[in-house]
Amino acid sequence: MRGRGKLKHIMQVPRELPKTPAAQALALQLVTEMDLLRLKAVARLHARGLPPEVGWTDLLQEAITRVLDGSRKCPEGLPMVAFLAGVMRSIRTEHYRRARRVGARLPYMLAELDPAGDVDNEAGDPSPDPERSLIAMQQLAEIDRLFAGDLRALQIIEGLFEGWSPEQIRARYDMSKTEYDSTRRRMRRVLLREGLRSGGHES
Amino acid sequence: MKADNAERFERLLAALEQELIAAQDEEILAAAGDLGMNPAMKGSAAFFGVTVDLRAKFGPSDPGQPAEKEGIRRRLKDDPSP
Repeated sequence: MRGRGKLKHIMQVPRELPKTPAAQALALQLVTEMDLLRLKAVARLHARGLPPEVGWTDLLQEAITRVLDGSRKCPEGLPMVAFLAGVMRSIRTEHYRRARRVGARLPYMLAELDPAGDVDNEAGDPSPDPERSLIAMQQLAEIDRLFAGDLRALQIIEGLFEGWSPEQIRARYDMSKTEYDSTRRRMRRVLLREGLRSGGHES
Repeated sequence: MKADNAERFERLLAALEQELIAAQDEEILAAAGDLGMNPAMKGSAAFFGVTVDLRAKFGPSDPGQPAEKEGIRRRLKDDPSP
């Protein structure tokens, strides 16, 4: 009996789980539960292409933390969900900028270590980052895979990637407004399913 | 000048983000339903990683290590490894 009691103690899940920043934002009524699910899907979208140690939960909780600690203030009139999505986007951009800065410093650091000075130094090169470009294309292929078999959705993805307006996309692919709108609804459903699924924090 | 692939991909992400922000509650519930989730239920899996911190629940593997939340902030604030 004593053994069973001990086992019960070990198996017990703590009643009070630590509150996440998102749970605090919910308690403070900054967001609703539905908003948090929207933001979960947005976080999963923006975590694409980030290194595995920075997951969607990190993006989401960090964005909310910045609002809770006052380091980011939501402008009056802007919905909190849109603001938090923007903060996640900026965290993602920050991450890439830092990674690029570190990458740019590397040749200098190597040159200091190399007395012969044979290291090719391109640290100041302002041209597009080929690695990030490659990651972007891989991520685009992953998004395309989500819509495999849905030609209209793939056409809209291509149009958005090219920066076309809805009218331009419809004209280019001979799509009626009804067809365009219903395709967007289908796409939202797929993106929401992908964003809400269970699974690890990183993807 | 034509934007490079990374910029174009960011543009696509921003457009898809807008779609998600604009999603109606009914659409979210329907998508959750497709996954067998009911967000109205207490402890729904839909909130794992959101209001329920899965990693913190199990605690740091090494008691000498700082809490996971601190780890998250460090990963996002510090320079990433080259």
